[in-house]
Parts: sequence; C-alpha cells; structure tokens
Amino acid sequence: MAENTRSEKAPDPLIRMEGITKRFPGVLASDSVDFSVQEGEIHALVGENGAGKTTLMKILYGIYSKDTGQIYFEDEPVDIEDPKAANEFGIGMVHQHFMLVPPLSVVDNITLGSEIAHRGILDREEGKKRIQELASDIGFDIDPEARIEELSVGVRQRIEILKVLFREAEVLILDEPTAVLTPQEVESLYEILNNLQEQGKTIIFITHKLNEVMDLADRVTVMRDGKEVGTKEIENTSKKELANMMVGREVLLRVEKKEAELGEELIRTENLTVTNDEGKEIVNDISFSIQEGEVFGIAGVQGNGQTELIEALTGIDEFSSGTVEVQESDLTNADGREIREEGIGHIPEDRLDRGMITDFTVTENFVLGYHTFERYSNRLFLKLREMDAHAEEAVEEFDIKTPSIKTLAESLSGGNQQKLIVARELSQQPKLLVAAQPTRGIDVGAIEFVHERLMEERARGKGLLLVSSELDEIISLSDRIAVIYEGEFTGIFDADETSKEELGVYMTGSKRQDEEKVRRKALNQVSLRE
Amino acid sequence: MKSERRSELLFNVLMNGVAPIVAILIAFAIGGIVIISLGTNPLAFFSRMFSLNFGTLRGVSQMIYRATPYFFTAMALSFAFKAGLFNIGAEGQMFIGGLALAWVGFTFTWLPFPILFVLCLIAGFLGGALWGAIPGYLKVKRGAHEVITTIMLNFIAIALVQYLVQNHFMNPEWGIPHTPSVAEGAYAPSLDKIIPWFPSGTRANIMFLVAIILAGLTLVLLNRTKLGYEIRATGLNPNSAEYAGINISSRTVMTMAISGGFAGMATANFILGPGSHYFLKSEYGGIGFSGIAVGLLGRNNPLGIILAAILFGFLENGALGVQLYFPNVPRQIVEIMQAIILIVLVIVLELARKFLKRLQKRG
Ligand SMILES: Nc1ncnc2c1ncn2[C@@H]1O[C@H](COP(=O)(O)OP(=O)(O)O)[C@@H](O)[C@H]1O
Ligand SMILES: [Mg+2]
Repeated sequence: MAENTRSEKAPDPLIRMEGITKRFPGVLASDSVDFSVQEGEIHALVGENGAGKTTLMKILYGIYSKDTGQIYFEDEPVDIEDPKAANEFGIGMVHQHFMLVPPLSVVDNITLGSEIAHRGILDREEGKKRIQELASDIGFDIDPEARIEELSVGVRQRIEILKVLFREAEVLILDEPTAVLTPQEVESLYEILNNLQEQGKTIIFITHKLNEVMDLADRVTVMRDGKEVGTKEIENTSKKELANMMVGREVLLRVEKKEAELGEELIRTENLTVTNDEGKEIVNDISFSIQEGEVFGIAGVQGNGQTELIEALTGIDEFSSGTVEVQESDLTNADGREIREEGIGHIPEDRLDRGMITDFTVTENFVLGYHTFERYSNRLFLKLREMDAHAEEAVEEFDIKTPSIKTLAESLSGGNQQKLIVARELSQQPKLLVAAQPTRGIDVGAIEFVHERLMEERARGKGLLLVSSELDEIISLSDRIAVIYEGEFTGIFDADETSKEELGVYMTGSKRQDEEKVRRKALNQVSLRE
Repeated sequence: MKSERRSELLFNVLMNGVAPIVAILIAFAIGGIVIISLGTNPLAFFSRMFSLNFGTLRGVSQMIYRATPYFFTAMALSFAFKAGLFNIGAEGQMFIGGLALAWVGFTFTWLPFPILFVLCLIAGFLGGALWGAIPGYLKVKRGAHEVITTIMLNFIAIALVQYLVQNHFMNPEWGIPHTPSVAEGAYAPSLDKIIPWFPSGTRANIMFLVAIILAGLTLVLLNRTKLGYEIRATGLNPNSAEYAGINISSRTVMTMAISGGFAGMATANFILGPGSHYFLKSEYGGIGFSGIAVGLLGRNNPLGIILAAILFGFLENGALGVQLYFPNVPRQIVEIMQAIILIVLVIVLELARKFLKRLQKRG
C-alpha cells in the first residue's frame, strides 16, 4: 500500500514455497499452496486437522516429495530432496511425535547422526559441552546424562529442539508442539521460542489453538482443505477472523448458554475419597450434588485428582470411602455396567487410551461399554444388524466424517474420533453425563459442535459433570464451578460471576474458601452468594 | 475412499499372502542347498516328497493325519494372540490335555461310542484349559508375564506327565512308558468312515474335521458374540476395555483357558485315532512348539492355519517316506526347513511392514 513507508521495502522472504501441490491417494493434501517466511519471525501455520499443515512442512523438510511447485531459499530456487538437504539450508523440524531413543542418554540422542569426532574417535565430552551451552543460551538446564525415558514430555520436547539446534538450524519448524504439554510447560515453551527469536532464529509453528497464535506469532498463515486461505499480520487480525478462515464459515467462539432451568437433584456424593497405592489421598473428602439441567464444572490444573475422581465415579476405579447416590439408588463403587445402566454416560479424558479402541471399527466403538445392553446383544450373541444401524444413524446425526462404519477408528481424525465418543454417549440418552476434557486436542469446528451438543443436553434437563483444564470452556459451559486443588475443592463459584483470574488463584491453592461453606455450596445447601 | 480400500488390500496381500509364500520358498531354497551339499539332487528329493504326499489319496490322507495336531496347537497360539496374549505353553497344555483324555478313555471303559469319545475330547480340552488358565491367573493376580510362565509350565507339565505315567498308569513290564489303551468307545472314526471316497487303512481321522469345526466356531465366537467382543477389546486395549466395564482379569484367564483347551486336544489325533490308542509321551514332543510357527505362518487366521498345518504335515509325512529313497538325507532336514520358515517369515514381515510405511510416506 502507498502509505506504507515504514521501511524502504519489505525484506525478501527467507523461504518461499510457490504452487506446492501434493496428492496422496484419494486426497489433495496440498493444493498449489504459496507460503513464505521472513527471516527472524515467528510464523504460525494454523488450520483444522487434516488441512495439510504437516504435509506442507514435511515437503519443506524433505520428508515428502512435492508433485509440483518450487521452493526458493533466499530467492534461489532449490531442491530439498531429503532432511539432510534441509539441514544444509539450516532448516530443522521437531515432529508431532517425538523421535527419541528412550533408553539412550540426552547427549547420545542429540548427537546421534551428527557425532563430533576427531580422527574417527568420538568426542562425547565436546558434544556434551556444546549441548549445555545451547541449552543455557535459550534458558534452561539439562542433565546431559539423563536417559530420555526418565524425562517428562515437556523436557523431551526441549531435547528435540536442542537436537535441531545442535545441527545448527536457523529455521525451526515445530509441528503442534503444545499438543502434548501441560499449561505450565506451554509457558516455558513460549519462553524458549521467544529466546530463540531474540537470537535471530526463524520459527514456523504449527497449531490449531488460536490463543497460542495470538500470544506468540508475528504472522499467521491459515490453511483449509489443502489450500492456503490467507496470511495475516497478528496486529491486523483477531481470533474470530482466524477461526472463520479456518472453518470457512462463521464460528461461535462463545457458547450460547440459555438461562438454567434446574430440576430435581440427580446425583449426590458425599465425602468421596480415593487413595492411591501408597495410601495417599488423591481425592480428599469431596462432596457435591448436581441437579437436572445443571452443568457442574470442576476446574483445576491437571493432576489434582480430577481423573481419579471421575474414574472412581464411573466404575473404573474405586473410592476408599464416601457415598454416591443417583436419584435414591446407591451407586457407590458400582461397576461400569451398573453406572451405564443407571443412565450415566462418560466421555473420558483420554480419547485413545480409554474412550475407544483404535483397532475396532466405528460400529464396534459405537457400542463400547453398551455392548451388553439388550439393544446390542442377547445372552450370547451381538446384534450386529442393530449395532450397524445405530452406528449409521449416529454417523449421520453427529456428522462424523468416516468412509464407512466398517472403517477402523484409527483412521479417523482426532476431531471425528471425539465426535464418535460423544455420539456414543449421547445416543444412549444418559440423564447424567460425565465429560472430561471433551474438546482437548480437537479443532475449532469440532469444539463448537461438541459444545453445542452439551448445551442441548443441559437444555433437555440432563445433568453434566464437566472437567476441563481450559478455563474458557469451564466458564462458558458451567453453571457452578468447583476448583480442585490437591484433591480438595478450594472454592465454589457461580460461573456468571467469576473470572479466569479468580479461578486461577484458587487453582494454585494460594487462596481457599471456608471448608464448611465449600461443602454446603457444593451440595447446594446454601446459595453461592453467601 | 477407494484408495483406502486399495491400500488395505495391498496390506493383506503383502502380509498375509506374499510374506508367507516368500518365507516358504526361501526355506525350500535353503533346504535345497543343504540337500545338494549332502550329494543329493534337491529337485528329485522334493518331487519325490511331493508325489509321496499328493501322488495318491493315501498320501494325502497321511499328510492330513500329520497336519491335524499342528492345527490344534496353532489355534491355541492364534486365539491367545487375538486377545493380545502370547501363549508359548501349547506344548505343556498339550501334554496335560493328552494325559487327561487318555485317562478318561482307559478309565470309563464301559461307556459306548460316541459318549466316551466326546468325554475324552472334553477332558483333553479341560486339561489344556487348566494348564492355560494358570499363567492367565498369574498374569492377572501377580503381573507375571505369560511368556515366562507358559514356558516354565511347559517344563513342569513334561515332568508331571512323565511322573504320572511311570508311577501310576504304567505297567512296568511294558518297557516303554505309556498309559493303558483307551476303550473302543473312545476311538475316533477314521476319515474313510465319513468320507466314502477316502482310502481306508490310513490314520487320518475325524479329529481333522473337529479342528476345522472348532476353527469355524472360534471365528463366530470372536466376531459375533459378546464374549468375543470383550476378548478382542481386552487384547487390543485393556485400558479402554476397563473403561467399557469389561472384567479384563476374567477375560484374560478365560482366553488363556480356551487357548490351552485347543492345545489340550492336539494329541487326540494320535490317542483316539487309529493306531496304538495309548498316551505315549515321546511321540508328541515339539508339536506344541511347532504350533507357534504354524500359527504365525498362517497369520493367525483359520484358513491360513489350515494351509500352514498342511504344509507342516506335508514336510513331516514327506520326510518319513522319502528316507527310503534318499537314505543319506537325514529326516531332520525337515525340522531345519520348519525353523527357516519361521525365521524368514519374521524377517519378511518386518520388511513388508517397512515397505508399506515407505509407500504411505511417498503417497
Ligand atoms: N502419508 C500419507 N498418506 C496418505 N494420506 C496422507 C498422508 N499424510 C497425510 N495424509 C492426508 O493428507 C491430508 C492432510 O494431512 P496433514 O498434512 O497431516 O494435515 P494437518 O497436519 O493439517 O492435520 C489429510 O487428509 C491426511 O489424511
Ligand atoms: Mg498435523
């Protein structure tokens, strides 16, 4: 534009990809995509699952070959045939799934393939020194002799980053680096990336979380269905705009929540305690009740007892003491089958390792947990026809994108796997739904869908126990919110009258409401205002 | 989504078709080299073997007789596999089941056919099931890995059977330790009694059909029943099975029991079929272990297992007959080939998997 005289001219991009097309059998993963990166910027690449982000970056990194198109490096047309060639251009990539050797040490993992040697003799100490320097340059400590298998996911990711830096990369591609991290780990990743930028590195950052884009990036490129939809400066865009670009239509980032219409008490739990193998209380004396038409949210940092509470409630684990009553019937430590028969559905937090069996078909997953119900089996045999028919209906109704109901669940995208689980639980018309992290790791469109369905259930007078570490989600969906910290409720709030900041304070245990009051509020014995 | 189906087809063809066949061909090639080094023409050797097996219906019948027990022990492996368990204990389960069925056969001698015959099979199944359930139980209660416990239980079974036969069931005058003979009511009818055009006077018997029927039932069990659904769920992902309210402990024990039960019936072919009609331990050694190879070669699918078992029957029956013609080739050549098949198969499968991955990557 004419008035833009900030600099003489925009700097030439460091990397330019032009007209990149890549076809996989049956999908056009990249459809003449243009993409360019400036030296020294943090460039976010966003899009829903399957948009083609990973494919585009794997082409840049030489893992996939492109069908057509051209890559320019500092304006020179280049051929990047394999990752080795990419390394020579100073391009490194941290993959979505880590590629470390668990029994080997940090040094050995990082130097693997780029060992420092003098006259053919491995110089391990030299490598170690360089690694420590690199690590302290970007602001973290590392034990170079620790074995990978002893390290947390967050630390492993740092090792992956170091591995790339060790190869003297100037351009770092990170594929959904935050997907596997806890909120705290995300914070320290931000710090690392900012430090890297200060050192003059260029960063390409794949994600589908818009908050991260707004927090971190200088520019953002949006992809949808293999096409590039647009590139924006962060100052000139908004979450709302990006979400619309990603999905290709208006997206509601805020959930529409109607006035609550509360009915009878659905579930009442008192003094619930879960102890682990060492006898430590993971859930400590928790009581609450949920009414028809109410969403009871539990907010908290992961690992404060939420998982254990829910698993004991739904028959996977057991309470060591306490009672659970669902409309007069005692369901304390009932097994999974009794829980389901009583009309309690459960969307577990771990989609792949609880919620489904990836080697089962869509149909088989659709009846998981309900396979013993009269609808789907008699004493011996499964009712395969009914199973298929119901799965077919659910795929239709919940808009699950799958080639067929005979497809293995592993080949569905994360969002569609989650929809399948939601479809299964809601199709049984539970009166109480326990939903843990119901939108974790799925894209904007699917999140919107899940939120809408949950709110529909609430409107129908169903009860909902919602556990989430996304505070936005908790606040926008819940009626009452309990904050859990080290297995105890530290406060109870009215969702309309609290804020992320307030919940945050209680989540770290720095503040607590009076214990007896919390209990009575959680049990609905006194109003929240008191 | 045609491409998906195409790549699934490719996967099946490569893993379940090409890989086993390549393994077999390589085994024959290596076997051939060994035979050449013994100064014999391998083509003559193998073609003699082929005509001994397939040249006459009698040959076919003998081959089936030799194949039948492998069919049972291979099913034991494959069934456990479906539930994510690696049952290496078919050998021990076979011995315990075999002694149990012989015991019923020589104890309840007054019972008529087919009652005694069926009771013997049940006893064989239960004996093997018991021996299979123990490692299942140890896994569930103590977390002991079934590979270790099934191997250990093999040794215990062998010693136990030996002890029981020598000290309780054997007449010291017999010289070779074996049990008394089963009563006539326990005899398994030979195949020519059932299939009219089958040659008489061979030892192929109804146990071959029993195996096929069991394989069919297994398919129904796994794919159409609630129990099968739970067994597969437990095998594929115990955490998700637990979420689904499935009692994974009981399913694990049950799977190991059924698996052991199949192995327990393996020796019915020898004991109840035409022949000596008593339990003779030394005659069955290795059939349980070979079942592992047969199961893997058959890619854990019933049709594949029949073919693989027949191949093993072919080799074994051929080895017995071909000695007359080529006395300088020891019959252990066959065991070498069986081992090579297994080793090569594992390698080829891994290569095929890598190849498919590369293919996927390149699009
Ligand atoms: N190796 C592959 N073989 C076949 N299809 C693939 C392969 N990799 C990706 N795809 C397909 O290409 C599309 C884009 O995938 P991907 O680049 O992984 O998306 P994203 O990273 O944006 O989630 C998807 O439809 C995916 O199924
Ligand atoms: Mg991706």
